[in-house]
Amino acid sequence: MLSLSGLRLRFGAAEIIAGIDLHIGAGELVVLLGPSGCGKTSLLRIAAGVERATAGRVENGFRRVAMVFQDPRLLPWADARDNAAFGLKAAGMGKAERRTIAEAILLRLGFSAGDLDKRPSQLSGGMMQRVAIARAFALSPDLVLMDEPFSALDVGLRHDLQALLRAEVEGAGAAVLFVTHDVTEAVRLADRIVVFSPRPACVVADVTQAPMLASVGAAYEASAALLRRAEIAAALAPPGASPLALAGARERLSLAGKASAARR
Amino acid sequence: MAVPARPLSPALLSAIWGMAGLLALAGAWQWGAMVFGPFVLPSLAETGEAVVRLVDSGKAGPALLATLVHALAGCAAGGAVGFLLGVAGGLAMPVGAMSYPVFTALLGTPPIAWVVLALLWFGPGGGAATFTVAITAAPILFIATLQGMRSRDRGLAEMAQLYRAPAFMRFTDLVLPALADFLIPALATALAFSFKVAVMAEVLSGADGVGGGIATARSHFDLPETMAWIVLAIAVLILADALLLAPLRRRRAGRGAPVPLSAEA
Repeated sequence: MLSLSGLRLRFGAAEIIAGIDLHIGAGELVVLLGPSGCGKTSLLRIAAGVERATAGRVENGFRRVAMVFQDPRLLPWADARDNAAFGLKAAGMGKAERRTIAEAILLRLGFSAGDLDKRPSQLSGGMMQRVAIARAFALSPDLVLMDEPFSALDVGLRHDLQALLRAEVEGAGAAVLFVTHDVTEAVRLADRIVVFSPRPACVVADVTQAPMLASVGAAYEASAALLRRAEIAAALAPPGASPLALAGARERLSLAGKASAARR
Repeated sequence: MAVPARPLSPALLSAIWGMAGLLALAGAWQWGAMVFGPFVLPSLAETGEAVVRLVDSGKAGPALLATLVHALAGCAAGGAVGFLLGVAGGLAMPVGAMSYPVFTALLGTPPIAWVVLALLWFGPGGGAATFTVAITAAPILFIATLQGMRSRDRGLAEMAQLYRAPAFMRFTDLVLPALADFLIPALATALAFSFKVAVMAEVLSGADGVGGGIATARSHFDLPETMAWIVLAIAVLILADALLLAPLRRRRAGRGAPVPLSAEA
């Protein structure tokens, strides 16, 4: 289990995180949802151990932790197979074994045998992000930290990768802490959605739900339902948005969900 | 039915154009010899005969070996110091900030000044040549390595930290490949400078090697033999480059944009 208790973070005079308690159990996919720049990534970096909180406690009972970043962060000089096997090599696994594991995961994530030898410069954005996901899951992690990994991809590709991620998580039984500012992405993926306020971040809502990957319409409906809650709408509103504009946006989202559901 | 011609491979095409460049140089040399006469520039044939004479007499082999040892030992020693301090400077800002002006001063010091000092410190012989080569090669490798370290991708370093990559793996899998784009041209430049400086130091110190041969030929006003030594020294440099650096260039070329042959290019 990962437990963050009374977590605070300051950079000089700026308060980034203003006291957060968050507990993530084994096999749980928790999405941190909040506006851009609210401190979600900082919290993820604290959980990963690369940044220290100003105050509070971090207890990480997970032994194998992997991370997927917003950009794929692949070695430009290594092929897809060796990039996916990076974590295994760091863990001291032999070459043949780690390459076999990396290959199996890449093939499961939609790579063809011919793509395995390609370097990042020869891969599309979606393929590179698949390699980054493979690198994380190759470790058989019990916790995966994901920092807006699909934000640079188009909607169709994002939906494909969300489905692949969910299948991979269920197969591996790993807990995931997934950061996004996209409500629909949160609804499609999460077992639990934790909504952060704008900076300084604090938790404004903690919603348990069933992931809505099966139906786009249902995901839009659930997104609209979330945004109907005033505290969530206020937290996710762009700076300066009027309550009237927010109400209009919620209504449009709701209508879009109904129209999409009707088409299906 | 006509069989379509297979296109030449890029490596073969590059070799053909390289040969064409050398032939153009030989043509210009021959033209110069015909215009200015053998007392200014000996012909290709006279130089060729001198090369054969030097090889047959058994003088060429030991001299070339001595120059090779002076150049490679100096380049390896100076290059290693420059590389290690460049890596250290990239990891620890004070080391880089302290070393940079020192190496800039070394880079700006004429090699001839080092030869004179080295002759006083080490006496005539191979030591002076090796020392001068080392002190010429070190700043080239230092500046290239430091630049490479400062340009490396911090995101990849953080990724490696998160995946708990051991320090040695971070060095071999992240740092060295990232430095390759900077190191390969710097090594080519350092190697070429090493041969030039080694021969110059040998001429002045009277040490064994190509420089010693050139000094003797000069004292006899034997221009074809002087040119023959130069040709032999260049041939050894090209051979050393082909054996030591071309494999690195080929390996680097396989992963993306080509690397120039030399930092001077």
